[in-house]
Parts: sequence; structure tokens; C-alpha cells
Amino acid sequence: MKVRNIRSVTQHLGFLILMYGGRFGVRLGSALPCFACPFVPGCGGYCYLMGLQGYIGFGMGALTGVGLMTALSWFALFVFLVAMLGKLWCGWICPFGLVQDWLSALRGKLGVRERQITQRMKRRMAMVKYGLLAYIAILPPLATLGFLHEDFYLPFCDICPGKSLLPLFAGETRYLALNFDNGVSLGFSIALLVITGIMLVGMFFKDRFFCIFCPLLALIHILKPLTALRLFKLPEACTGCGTCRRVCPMDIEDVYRQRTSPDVQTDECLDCAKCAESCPADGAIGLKFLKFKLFLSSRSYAADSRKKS
Amino acid sequence: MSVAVGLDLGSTSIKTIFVKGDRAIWRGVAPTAPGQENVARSLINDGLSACGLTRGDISAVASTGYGKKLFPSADRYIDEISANAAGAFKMSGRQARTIVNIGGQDLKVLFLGSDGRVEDFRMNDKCAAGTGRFFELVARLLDTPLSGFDRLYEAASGDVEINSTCVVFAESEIVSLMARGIKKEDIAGALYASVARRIAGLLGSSSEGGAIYIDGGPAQNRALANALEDELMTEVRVLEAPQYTVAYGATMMLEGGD
Amino acid sequence: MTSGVTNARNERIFKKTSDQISSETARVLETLRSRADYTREFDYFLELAESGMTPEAAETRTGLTTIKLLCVQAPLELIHAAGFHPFKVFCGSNAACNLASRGLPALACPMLRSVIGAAKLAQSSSESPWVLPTTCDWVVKFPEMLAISDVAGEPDSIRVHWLELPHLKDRDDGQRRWIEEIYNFKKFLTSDGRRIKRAALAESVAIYRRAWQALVRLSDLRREGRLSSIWFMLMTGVFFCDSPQNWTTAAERAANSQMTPALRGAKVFLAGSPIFFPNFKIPFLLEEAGLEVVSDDLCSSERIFPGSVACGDESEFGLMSAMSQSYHQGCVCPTFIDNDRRINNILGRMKGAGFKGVVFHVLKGCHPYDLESFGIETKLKDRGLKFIRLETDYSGEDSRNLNTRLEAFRQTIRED
Repeated sequence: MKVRNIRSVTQHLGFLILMYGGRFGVRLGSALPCFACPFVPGCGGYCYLMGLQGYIGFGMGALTGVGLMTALSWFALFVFLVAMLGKLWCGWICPFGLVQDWLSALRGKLGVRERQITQRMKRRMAMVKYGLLAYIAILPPLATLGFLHEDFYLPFCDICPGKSLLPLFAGETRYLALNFDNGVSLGFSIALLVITGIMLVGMFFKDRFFCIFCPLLALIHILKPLTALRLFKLPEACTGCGTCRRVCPMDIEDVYRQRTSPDVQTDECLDCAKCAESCPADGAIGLKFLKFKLFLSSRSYAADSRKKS
Repeated sequence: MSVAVGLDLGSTSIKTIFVKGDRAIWRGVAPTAPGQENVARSLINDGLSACGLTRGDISAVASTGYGKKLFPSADRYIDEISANAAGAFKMSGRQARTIVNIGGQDLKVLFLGSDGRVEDFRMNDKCAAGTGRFFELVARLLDTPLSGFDRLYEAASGDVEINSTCVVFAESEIVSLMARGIKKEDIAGALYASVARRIAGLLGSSSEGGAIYIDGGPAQNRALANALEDELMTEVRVLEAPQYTVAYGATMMLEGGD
Repeated sequence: MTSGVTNARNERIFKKTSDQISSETARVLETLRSRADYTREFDYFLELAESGMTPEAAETRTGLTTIKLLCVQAPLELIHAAGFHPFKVFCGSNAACNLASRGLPALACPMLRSVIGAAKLAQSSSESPWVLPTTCDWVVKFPEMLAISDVAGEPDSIRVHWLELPHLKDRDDGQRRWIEEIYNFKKFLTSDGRRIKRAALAESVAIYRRAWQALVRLSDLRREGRLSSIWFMLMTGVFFCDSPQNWTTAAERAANSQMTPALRGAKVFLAGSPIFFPNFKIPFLLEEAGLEVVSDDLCSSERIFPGSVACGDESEFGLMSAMSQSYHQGCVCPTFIDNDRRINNILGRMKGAGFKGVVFHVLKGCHPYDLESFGIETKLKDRGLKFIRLETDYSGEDSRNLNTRLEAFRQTIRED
């Protein structure tokens, strides 16, 4: 079985379990390192960003009754999940990632060209995700402490296109409507609509456009020293053909450019391993769990696994 | 009594050596001529009668050199570079690390490891400059046998140069030097200096420390070693019976083997 | 009167050269057919080699107008998608090389001399255009050499489309300029009003991908010692003589067949200047010396086309840019300035197969390869690997000298 088939299976399984699992009694908790959106009715688990803003994180859940130990336990679980699977959560599991891949596939079917974002522009855009992390860290405590309106309690969810789009797969359309409860909620619902529109366009024209801005990706990247799963490169085996860069949904250059270090796990990398799959150099790119090599590129594999048109 | 026979069928001459244990007991040489196999056979017969041996005393025959396959009844064929390395290493008392072989038509540089194995080697390509052919040509021009070249070289002033590395052009250069009345001695000096330059070029910068050992027919003249010493500024040693090192080495490689 | 004599003389020279070429080819083919590891599956390739490896023959076989190429940088998929047959012109004939030598620089590339010699002999030269990437100096001056050799009139009377190759492949601006060149090339191909549709391009990409998959299978078989390098080189050598589909089918059939194991020898990697049929001097000498080529990086063999047109973007632009990149960045031709990663291909291929010697073939006059061999030699020796450089041309006169070297080289890499 080819890597891309396995990836497709885990992505679809992830989608089914995380989007509909709740209907069958699956409850995977509140610390999932991917967009398992709590706003999807009957979802199988919660995205950690929600908890992080709310009752088990910066929302000062610890101070307002849930208890420090509970918050820390969820955090520990999150760290454990990240440490085990790293960014496989992004490339192999995240339901919102799969939705983006569907949009890319649609674009491919229509023969529409993928828009290029210059590396410099992309680097700037990528900083947004750290900004969003700060936004998540600052606004909820202010709301909890009464400095801000209480509707600032989940400020990220309120602008997250996952919240507007993922519930659609469960028949829930309400997050696409304007919320006239108050000024803040109206503001947020307008912002969400605008952002969703921009993201839809972006995600159609550019692979994994949203991932550029994803604060969860930023958070997982901060935990990189703890992760067991890594993408690596053996620069002395690289022939510089540039295939890795071409197939990368995030248009990452570093894997191609790297000439000295095996560390190519950059902050934008989703560990999708498409680069390793299509690399025609023997033993140049791979995916490893601790020291155990899960996959290593080879010319034979690359030739064999190329899509048949 | 069992002797190992080493045959070196070179481009210019066929060398034969009888080796008992690791000691040479007889050596013979004949110019290469059509029908190499017969030339080699009669050389072997010469050796047998000189040593008072019979055919049955020959334990094995090792054949090497360009024409090694032209002696079909050999027990083993050995490439001349490996044979040269084995012979020179043994003859030098396991000291040789850099060996220069001046053959009839080619020039080889061998680099050995401390175990005597060939680490690397270089060889001239299509050009015969600096090889035995070059010496023969000059000997004819100067009308002096090669054996007399040592004496000529000693008397050379060192003021004359031959610039051509090509044998053919060097010939016309020498003719014009002679026409200008330059002494034979000086021409011989220039000849050796030019060959030494050529060898130094082949050696490149990679010759490791230690003495350089030379063998092959033209190495019989000490003059070449002296010229090479002047060029390389390192000690140059001529191996004993330099013309036979390759044939000798071939017999060394009879036991064990591929 | 004078011209009549000249013509008569030329005719005799041409006749003699033609006979020599025929006998060169026949000799090699006969040697191949009588090998112990010959099987019927090789017949297709032998027949292609036998029936004349010219653009005209390929035109007859494919029914398409050819685009004549030198080097490996023009995207075959694009040419194919436009409804032409890409034909990489090459020649390994020593007689043809000798014919063209008169009047050309002594050190001119033997391969191009041979091509020019063959062109001189060709009675009806195909009118199809040349597409030349500006790789080495000889290629750049190729039309001029054709003109000097009286194959064509003035240099500008030859229909040439130049692909100006940015020699810095690692830089974004170089890649941008190359994509522009490929778009210009597309314009050139479609100048008669034909169109290249996205679907056709995608189909061509798929066709060459399948060919590449077959090529990789063959190279794997060679690495495993189940296919002799000689056969591998014959198969890659005739790649352009027929449609890629037919070649692929035959290659797959051969790969699936029960092949007699190749002659075993000490494993080596063959690098350097290309080797073209019928000049199989080096492969034969290697075999004779007991050396088994299990991988190579020759642009006439394993690198005959890059094959890795992989992209995330299936749009027309996506295909075009992926194609241009794989033919540019993916190419390790020594005419590139930033070609330092070429060594990695050699090391990577060697690592997998566990062999430790590199034979570097330098065609006399092929300066880029010659020059690059020195750096590669140092890097390989630093890693404890053995290296030998063979500088030679199409003539057989140095065969014994080369044999001596190769036999000694085999001794240096023999396993203890």
C-alpha cells in the first residue's frame, strides 16, 4: 500500500471519527491537536484551541472553578498527543485539512492554476499564526477578568473558518448567519463571514491556504523539541531536483535548500510526507519516529507511486 | 625442484624470470616480435637449460603485460599494474609506497598502501613521451647505445632544454640542437630532464613522503633516477634488475589469487 | 571538371565511410546477439538499432514529424503533446566521426563530430528543426560546425530553435527565465497554428512517466545484477527511435521476462560523458576487465530523460512549470555552474548497492565533464572510494592501454 493511500485512509477516518464519532459514543476529549470542531453537532472530540481559550486554558478555567490540575492534565494530554504524532495531526488527521485537500482536488479537476505566493510574502503571512496565538492568550483572560465583554471568551473560534464550514457537514448552517445578540457577536459574525469568504477563495486557489495561518500549527511547532515524529533529510543524498518543493502543499523551500542539517521540520511543515514519497533520490528524505525510520525515499518508490492519469 | 616462471610480454620486450621461493635464479629478455608465444617459449627453454632444469620443474607460469593473453598455456594472467606493485613492494623490502614504471610505451605511477596493495595509479594515455620508445629514438639520433647514456648525463652542463613533450616533436627539436652544434652530453641531460618533468607531471602533487622507487627497462640507467631526484627533490631509488620487477611480481601473485 | 573530380572522390569517401559504419554496427549487434545473456525480449531493441538510428527512421516508425534535439533539457512531454516526435540526435560511429574530423577543430566533441559525419552521409536530410539548449560550447557552436562541414549552407540557414539555458539552476531568477524559455518553446512548437491542450500535456506527462517507471525497473534489475549494463545501454540508447509507448511496452516485457543473470564482476558506478551506440568500447572493456556497471549517470543512459515531472498543481501552468523545473533543476549536466549536488546522486546510488568504485568516462574534448571529474575524484577519495578516469575518444587504438588500467582498477576494488 502506498503512502498516499494510507494518508488518504487516515484523513478520511479522521474526518469520520472527529466529525461524526460523537453520534456513536466516541468522545476523544478536549485536547486534540487538530480542527475537530466542537461546533459540529455530534463531533468525536474537541480541538484543543477551544479549551485553550476557555475553561482549561487562558480562559482562566483554572481560576474559575475547573481546577488547575484538570487544566494541566488536558495540557499534558495535548503535549503527549503532539509528542507522539507531531504534525501527522495536520497532514494525516485534521478534518479541516481534508476539506482543503478536497478544494485543491476540485481546482485540479477544473484545471485551474494554483496561485503562487512569493516566499517572502508567505513568510510574512506565516507570522500571522503566532499573532493569533498571542490573540488567544490575551483576549480570553481579559474577558474572564471583566475587562472585555464576555463574548470575547472564545475570540478565535469566533473568527475560525472551521467553525463556519465544518458544521455544514453535519447539516448545521447557523454559524454562517449573522448573530444579532449584541454588538460584539454581530461584529464577530460579520468577521467570520468575511474571513470564511476569503479563506474559501484562498483555499481554492492555493493548497492548504488556511494552514499558513493556523495557530494550532504554531503551537505544535513550539512543542517541536518534544516531538518523536519528524521529517528529515540526508543532504548528502539530495540531487537538488526540486521535486520536494514542487509537490509540497505548503510550498516549503527549506527541504530543497537544506544542504547541511538533517532537520527539515520547519514551522509550516505538515508532515504530509508528499516530498519524501516523490523524492527520486535514494535515501534523501524520510519520516521517522525517534530513531525508527518509517519511510525513506527511493527512486524505485517514487517511480512506482506516481499517480496514473 | 620447483620454480615459478614469470612472463612479462611487454610492448617492446618480453621478460622472463625464474623464481625459486622468492629468489630470482634466472632472467632473460628478448625483443617483442610477431609470434610472442614462441619467443616466450624459447626464452623459457633457454632458462631451463641454463639452470639445468626440465619442464617438469616448473610449478606454474604467470603471464603479465600487454600481451599476457598471447601465452595461452599460462596458469594465471595478472594485470601488469598489480604485478608491478607486488614485485616492487617485495624487492624494496616492503618499503615502496610510490613506484614509477617506465615501460616501452607507457609510463605508470603506482601508489601502494602499507600492505603493498595498489591504492591508486596513473598511466599516460595515448602519448609515448617519457617512455622507453623516447629513449630508443634519442639513442638512435645521438648514435650512442643506451648503456652509454649514464656517462653522457654525468658530463651534461644542464644549460640545454628540450621543451617538447611529444616524442615526434622532440625528435625535430633534438635534430635542430645537434645542427646548432650542441654537445651530445647536453642533449642527453636535456632528455633526462624532460622525461623527469613528464614523470613529475604524472605524479602530481599526491606523492606521499618517502623515497620513490623506479623500475622498467629505462630505469637501468642511473641517470634517470638522478634527473628525477633533481626534479622532485626527493630520494629516488632504482629497484634491482628493474626491467624484471613486473615479471617477478607476477610470480609473487601465483599463490592465493582471485 | 575539378568539381566533378571532387564529387567522385567524395562519393568514394562517403561510400567507404558508409560501409565502415555498417560494419561497426553489424559487429556490435553480432556480439550482442551471441551473448550468453541474450533473450528474445531484446530483439525489439536490437532491431531498432539495426534499422538505422536516424530521425528519418523514427519519422517513418512513428508517423510523426521529428524535432531534432541535442542534450537532455528540452521537455519531451511538451514536444510529444504538440504532436511531434522528439528525437535526440546522437551517433557513436567512429567512421562518421573521422569523416567529419577534417575541417573541424581537433578537439571538437567526438559525439558531435560523429553526428555531423552521419549528417554528411545522409542523402535526404530531414527538414525538421533542431532544438538546442545552450549547454556546452560545442553544442552552442553546433550549427556553425554543420556549416563548416558543408552539411548546411550558412549557420542561419539551419532551422534552429535555441533554448537559452540558465546555467545557475538553483536560483529563482534562473528558473523563471527557464520557464519563460519553455513557454517560448511552446510558441515555437505551435507556430503553425496547432494547439497544445492541457489534457494532451497531462497525457504526455503520463506517457513519459510510464516510460520512466519502466526505465527505473530496468535500472533496478541492473542494480540487482539481473540485467547486464550492455543491454541496459542498448535499451536506453534506442529510446528515441520509436514512440515512447512502444518502447515502454517492450521495456516492460523485457523487465517481466526471465532474464539470464548478467555476467558478474566487481560493481562499479559509471559516470561522465555519454556513450552512444555503436561505440560500446567502454562498456565492453569494462566487462572484459571484470567490472560490472550497476548504475550510471550518463545522459545517454540512466539520465536519458528526467522522468520526475511531479507536481501538486495539475493545471497547465502547473504542468509547464513542473516540466521545466525537472528538466532544469533535476539535471546534473556539468555545464551547470551550481552542480555540486551531482556527487550526491553517485553516492546515493552507490550506498544502496554497496559498491565502491567509480569509473569516470571523459570523451576527449568534453571539457565540462573533464573538469568536473577532478572535484568528484577528490570527494570520492575522501570517502575511501576508488576512482578511475578514462579519457578516450571513439577510436579503438587505446583499448589495450585502457584494459590494463581497468584490470588494475579491478584489483584495487576487489573484496578481501
